[in-house]
Amino acid sequence: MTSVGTHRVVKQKKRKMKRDRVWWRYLVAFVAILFALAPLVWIILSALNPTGGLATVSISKDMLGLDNFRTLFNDPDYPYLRWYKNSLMVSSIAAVFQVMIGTMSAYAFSRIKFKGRRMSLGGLLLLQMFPQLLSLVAIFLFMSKVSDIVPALGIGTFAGLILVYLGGSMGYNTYLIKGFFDTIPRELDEAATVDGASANQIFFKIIMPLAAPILAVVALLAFIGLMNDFVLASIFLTKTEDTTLAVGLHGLVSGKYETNWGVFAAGALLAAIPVVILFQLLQRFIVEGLASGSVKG
Amino acid sequence: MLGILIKILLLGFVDATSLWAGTFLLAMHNYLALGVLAVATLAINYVYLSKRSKASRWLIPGTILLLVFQVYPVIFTASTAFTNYSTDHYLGKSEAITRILSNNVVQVDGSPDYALTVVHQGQTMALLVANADTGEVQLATSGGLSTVKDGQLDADGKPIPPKGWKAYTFDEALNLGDALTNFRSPMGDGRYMAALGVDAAAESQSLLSYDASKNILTDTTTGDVYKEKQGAFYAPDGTMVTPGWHVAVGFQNFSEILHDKTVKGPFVRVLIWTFVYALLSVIITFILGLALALILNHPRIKGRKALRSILILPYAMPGFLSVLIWAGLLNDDFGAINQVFGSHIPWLTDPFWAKVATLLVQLWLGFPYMFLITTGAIQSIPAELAEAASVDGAKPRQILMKIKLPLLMVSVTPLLIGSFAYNFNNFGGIYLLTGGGPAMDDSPIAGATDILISYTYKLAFGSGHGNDYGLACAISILIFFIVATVSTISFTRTRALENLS
Repeated sequence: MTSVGTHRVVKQKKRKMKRDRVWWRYLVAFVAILFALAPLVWIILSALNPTGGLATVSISKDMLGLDNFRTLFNDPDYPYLRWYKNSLMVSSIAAVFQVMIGTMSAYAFSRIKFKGRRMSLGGLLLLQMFPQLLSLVAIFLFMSKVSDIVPALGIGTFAGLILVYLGGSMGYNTYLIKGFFDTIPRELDEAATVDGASANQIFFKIIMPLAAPILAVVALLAFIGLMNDFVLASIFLTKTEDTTLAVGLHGLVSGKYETNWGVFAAGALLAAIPVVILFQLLQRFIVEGLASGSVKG
Repeated sequence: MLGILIKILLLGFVDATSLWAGTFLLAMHNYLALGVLAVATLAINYVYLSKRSKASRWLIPGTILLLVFQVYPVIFTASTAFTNYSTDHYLGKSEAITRILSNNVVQVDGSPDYALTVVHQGQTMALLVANADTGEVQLATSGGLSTVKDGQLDADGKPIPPKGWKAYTFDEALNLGDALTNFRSPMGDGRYMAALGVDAAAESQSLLSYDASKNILTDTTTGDVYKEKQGAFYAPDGTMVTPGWHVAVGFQNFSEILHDKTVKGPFVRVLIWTFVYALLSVIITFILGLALALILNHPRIKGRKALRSILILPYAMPGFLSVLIWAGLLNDDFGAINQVFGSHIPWLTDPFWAKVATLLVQLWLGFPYMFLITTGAIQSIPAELAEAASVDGAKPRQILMKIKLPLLMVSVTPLLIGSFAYNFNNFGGIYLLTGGGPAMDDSPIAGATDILISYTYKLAFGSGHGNDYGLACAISILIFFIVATVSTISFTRTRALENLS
């Protein structure tokens, strides 16, 4: 509402100023769009260009084709579809569990009075100052030891990677979800308690249905974040055949830009599409979340 | 009812899993981990079975994961920073000594060659060897050697197993791995029979012997004494016997960073560039984002929503993909940028241009974020303020500079600090673009565009050099303190600002 008010005042003033040029703003918009889109347009053209070279600049009809995609799906050295499947699997499992665990913790912090509640919340916030990225070496050495004891959860396994991802689920998500739970009126659960409902029943029958849409959004955002992870995946999943998109595509292209560019472009395009669509659909929530200080990781 | 059933099933699953993991720990004599596992399992059972501890039952899954995968690694990082944990100091002491003794084995001078058949009796393995000089066949067990009467050789000259023993096939023998290579059959005088591959054996002796009471290694041929110093044995001439083992070294890693020329030079260079990179990244993305927000959020611009959707595309793209794509676009010889502009800028191979490239890429990646937050901040400034000012005769420029921008800065400064902290550790933005390169003369590891976190990563996981986990952890600790200090100072400053205004 307030911005509309500003606009009206500004408009009236501008009208008095007789001439009023906005063409240069459009020019700026055009240049900005060019800057934002050029690399993306280039990657689409490269993906469709069967010669696959980095160098080709011109576009003609016979330079369009799906050869790169065919190579991408059939090259046994680079099992792209497998990477894709792995990424989707790891990210979605980890996202769902992250949100589940975050939701449970948020419920306790929002609804149950217990000793040390404020201190735990403060401690959680403090821990976020030391991101997992900084303890990478320790995580690696620790998980190498786990590999010796329980190989199924160690280095090189998806289960181990997911567990490490889950280590972070108490942090930011808990805060986000607690913030939402706090907005659900307490009278609802008080009334339910009077009617004899247990904590479990209140959680599943009252809070969860109300929070479901928000939780879905949080899960999707967590999913986007996990799809983006390169560092942890790169020390965990070192085998070309069993890795994620981030690590696999890095291996496909690093040092081999001249030869693998076209195939990489095709792979990058397919990998980006679902994330970009999700992002655009969730734009509203992301913009709101930005104000609360989350930077995309 | 269903709830109880699920609870029992889940608890049963947890207990079974920890029992299963516990047997492994017991077999490996890792009693500390076993104790932790037992306490955790009991705690879980207590929390979910007792009527009390209402909050814990909601908090325990997250707390355990947090403790194991976030808190423990932090403690581990802090403690490893004070050790010499590295490729050469990877093992525990007893493992290292075993490895040293078995590494320094030589064939006894003038001893005959032996043809080998690896044999077994149930689970018991032995070496059946045939002396190439005399043709005598001997059975070498872990207890010692005994002659086999009327030992026969097959067509290849390999001994044929006596009654009661079975030969491993070639493939089976290969699969024995360490069990075969570490097999020793004592012959007295510190000599023993050991396999050389799967079809030959030799009389061997260790060059070194370990005296546990004096904690020294002795060279059995020369009598030289090797003494222990900081997790390794050193020869009298000062050369280290590999492998060593990890021991606490106090502040050595930190003092290396401060004093050791080979470490200090590259470290200081990387540290300065980290600050420059993080600061400039924030500044340039903020300026571009703010400028676009001011220019494009104008009531007479049509299609602002569509414009926003387009401009946030770089932000919506998965970050690792964007950086990899830019690495291709900036490729010196074939990249689109040099092709389109007809330039020959060595984007990724020249130290200066590589730095420009990292900032350019970060500008592309980061400006939509700044565009979004500044747009939000401008829209949340109360319209009355601008109205009042314009009634008082302020020009639009004055309203912008004196009212809107200062208010905007108050609300976005915390986000800018967050952005600084993020870019300070922006591993992907550097490593996926340049790999930290191009290489510099002063260091085999730290390149021209390396920031602290990518330098740490390369120290610990890079190939082509020994990996120094201790030093990497020490730098991680430093990064933490730097980011924590910068954030704290700037947060308190901005709070002071807010109070003033």
